[in-house]
Amino acid sequence: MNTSLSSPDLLASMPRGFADATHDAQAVFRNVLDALSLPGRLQTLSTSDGLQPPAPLSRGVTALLLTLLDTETSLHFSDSLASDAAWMYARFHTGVQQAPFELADFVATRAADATLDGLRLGSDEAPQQGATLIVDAPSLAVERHASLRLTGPGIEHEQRMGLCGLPITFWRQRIAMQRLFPCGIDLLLVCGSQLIGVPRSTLLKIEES
Amino acid sequence: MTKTLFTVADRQAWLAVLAHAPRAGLAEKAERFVPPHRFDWLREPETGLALVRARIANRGDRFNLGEVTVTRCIARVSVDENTTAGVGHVLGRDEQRARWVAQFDALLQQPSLHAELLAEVVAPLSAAREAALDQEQARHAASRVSFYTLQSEATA
Repeated sequence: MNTSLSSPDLLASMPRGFADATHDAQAVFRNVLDALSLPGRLQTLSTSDGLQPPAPLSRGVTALLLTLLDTETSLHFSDSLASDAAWMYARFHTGVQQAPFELADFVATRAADATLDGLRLGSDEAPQQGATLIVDAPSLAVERHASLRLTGPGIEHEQRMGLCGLPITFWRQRIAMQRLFPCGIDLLLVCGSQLIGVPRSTLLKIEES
Repeated sequence: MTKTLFTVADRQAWLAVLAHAPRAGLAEKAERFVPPHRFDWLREPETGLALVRARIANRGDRFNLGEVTVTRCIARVSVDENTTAGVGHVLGRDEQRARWVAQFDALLQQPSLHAELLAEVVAPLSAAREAALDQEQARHAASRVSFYTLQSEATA
């Protein structure tokens, strides 16, 4: 396959981005803002009808990528989401740079192979350089056998959420990172058109029954 | 898909003609050939800056000559279930001109329209540009100062 961006066939078959680039991206950005300021609470992504996600990305993940990425950011796809089509799409619509896992500003992954190991945490001088992990989750519902209890900024008393298809070891890793604050990883969990944000400032507890 | 209809160089040539074509000429052709088709805008016209780099007499070190305003867009069109994408890059901020260039580029890649458009759109626009260039060169040539006499004495 010719992977040059100027290849005429590639452009002819390129899936569409936002129908209205400015306003759709603003609407999704507002959703992300709400998700991160109200940790653990379910938000509905306002994805536009014109959006055509490339295989194997979901609609929600695609909308987040189109909103958050530009030429000055870098992205890493985990093996489960990496494909030529996804890369060409991201490059064409946002101009994002490809980066290895340890250096990327944004990492997109499926819940099954999500890990925090080796992600960029930022430094005390520049905590904003910590990575954002975008997880394509199978479900965002609260399950009976285990759940997470969230406290911290943006939560009045406490907030509950499910494990979102992520392994319990992942959440233990996340909890271990809490002592590194203000360094850390911001999480965006997407399932269909639903979104949950877990910023690095949120304190988690695992509750198993 | 195998395409032997045109080469990359052919496409570069017609894109250059379209990008240089004056607004009025392009508008007249677009009125005639564009309306029957429905275009899907993969990239709406957007204006940005491009850095022009140059080398004096095409030799020596490259230097930054300056920045120019460029408007670009990408149009897609389907004719007989064959989809092609056309790109339009023009100097300046005229979005409509960029749209026309992209539309013609997409249509020119369609096998059923290629020959007709090449003859009816690209050829006349190219001829008009060459005529305008020739005229300008002739105007400049008239004011040329010849140092022929001085030179021949020196070499004699």
